[in-house]
Amino acid sequence: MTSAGSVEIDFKEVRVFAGTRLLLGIPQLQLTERRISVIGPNGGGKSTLLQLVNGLVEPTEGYVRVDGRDTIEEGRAVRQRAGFVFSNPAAQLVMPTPLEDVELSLRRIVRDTSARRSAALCCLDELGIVELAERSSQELSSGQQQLVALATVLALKPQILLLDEPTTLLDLANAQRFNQRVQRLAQLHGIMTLTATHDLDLAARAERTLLIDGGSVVADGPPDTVITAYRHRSSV
Amino acid sequence: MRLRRRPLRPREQVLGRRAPGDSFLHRAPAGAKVLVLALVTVVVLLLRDPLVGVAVVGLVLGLTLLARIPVLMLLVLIRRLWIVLAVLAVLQWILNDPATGTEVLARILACLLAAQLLLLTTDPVELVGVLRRVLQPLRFLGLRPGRVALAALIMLRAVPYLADSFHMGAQQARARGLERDLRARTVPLLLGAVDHARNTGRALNARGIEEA
Repeated sequence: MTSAGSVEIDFKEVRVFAGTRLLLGIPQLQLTERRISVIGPNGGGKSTLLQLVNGLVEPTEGYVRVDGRDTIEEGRAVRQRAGFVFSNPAAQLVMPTPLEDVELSLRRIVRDTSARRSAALCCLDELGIVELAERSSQELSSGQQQLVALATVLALKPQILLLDEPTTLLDLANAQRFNQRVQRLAQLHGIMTLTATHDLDLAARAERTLLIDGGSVVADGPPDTVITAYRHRSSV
Repeated sequence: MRLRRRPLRPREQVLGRRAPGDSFLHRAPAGAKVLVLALVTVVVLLLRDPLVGVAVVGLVLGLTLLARIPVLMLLVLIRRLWIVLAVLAVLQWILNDPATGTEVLARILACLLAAQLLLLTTDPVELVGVLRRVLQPLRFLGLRPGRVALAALIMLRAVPYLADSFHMGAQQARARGLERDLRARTVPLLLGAVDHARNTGRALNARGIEEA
C-alpha cells in the first residue's frame, strides 16, 4: 500500500489551446494534499485540469508531471497511477456485467483467470456492490453504475483518483453513498482525490480548493474562503 | 366518463432479444451454431434450387417448434423487412421470371430466418467470443482479435443507448411541437451519438483498455 504523502502533481507553464482559443493556462501549480476539490462555472476549465493530470488532455505548452513522470511521455504509467471517473456512468462500462468489467480492468496486471476473478469480486465487495456482480450492467440504476465505474478504476489500486463531477447525474441518496464510499476507500488505501464538482458541500470537505474560471485558477486555498469567493463571483 | 385505455408499448429490441427457454438450441455451443449457420448459408447460396431454400425454411421452422420458441419471435423479422423483400420479389418477377423470383426469395428467407434463430438462442456476448476465435488466424496480418471484440462489445452496448436517445429525441421534438420536423428529431440523436462515442473512448483510454 503506497502512502499518498508521496504523491505530487506538478504543473509548469501549462497552456491548453483548442485551435487558437485558450482553454486553460496554469503557470505554476503543485498539488500534494490528499483531498482537493475543484469548483467553478461550466466551461471554466475544471474538466481540462483533471484530464491534464492523467494525460487525456495534452498540454499545448508546458509540462504536467505526476510523481516526476511526464503525463505525455509516460502516459500509460501515469494512467495506471491515476484513475478517472466521469460523470456519465453509462459511457464508462463496456462489458455485460460489472464483474466482467472489473476483470477487464485487471486483465493486464493479473494474468491468472481465477486470481483475476477473485480480485474483481474483492473489489466489488469493498464497494459494497458484490451482489451486483453478475447482473446486467445496462439494467443497473445510474447510482449503481457509477459505483461499478468506480470499482473498475479502484481495482487497479491507483494513487490518485480523478473524479469529474461524479455525482452530477445522481440523486441525493446515491450521491451521498458514492461520496461516502470514495472517502472511506481513499482514506483506507491512502489515495489522493481530486474532485471537480458543483456540490459545494462536498467541495467544502476538502483540504484545499481550487476555483477555476475563464481558463485560469482564480482562487486557491482553504475551501471556505475559496467557496466564498466563488459565491461572490457568481452572484447576479 | 369512460376510461381510456392505451397501454404503453414496450420498446422494440433488435439485438440481444433472446427467446425464453433452455432448449437444446439454447445450450448448444455458440461456435457450433455459427458453423452450422455458415454451412447452411453456403449450401443455400451455391445450390440454386428453390426446393433447397424452401427445405431450409421448413427446417428452421421445425427446429423453432422443437425448441419451443414462439414462432412469432422468428417471423417478426419478416414484418420488419417485408418492404425490402416485396420490392426484391417484384423486381425479380419483372426482370426475370416468376420461378427465379420465387427461388431468390426462398433463398433470402432461408438465410435470414436461420440467422434469426441463431440470434434468438445465443447470448450476443458469446457471439463476440466466437468472432474473436474466428479472427485468431489473422493475427499474423497484424489484426488484433481483442480489439475487434472490444469494438463489437461497445457496439452491443451502444444499441440500447441509441434506441433510448432516439426515443428521447422524438419526445423532445414532440414537446416543442416539431414531431414532423426531421431535423429536430435527428440532430440531437446524431450529436448524442458522437458525444457518447467520445465519452466511451475517453473512459477506455483512462482505464488503459485496448482490447477485450
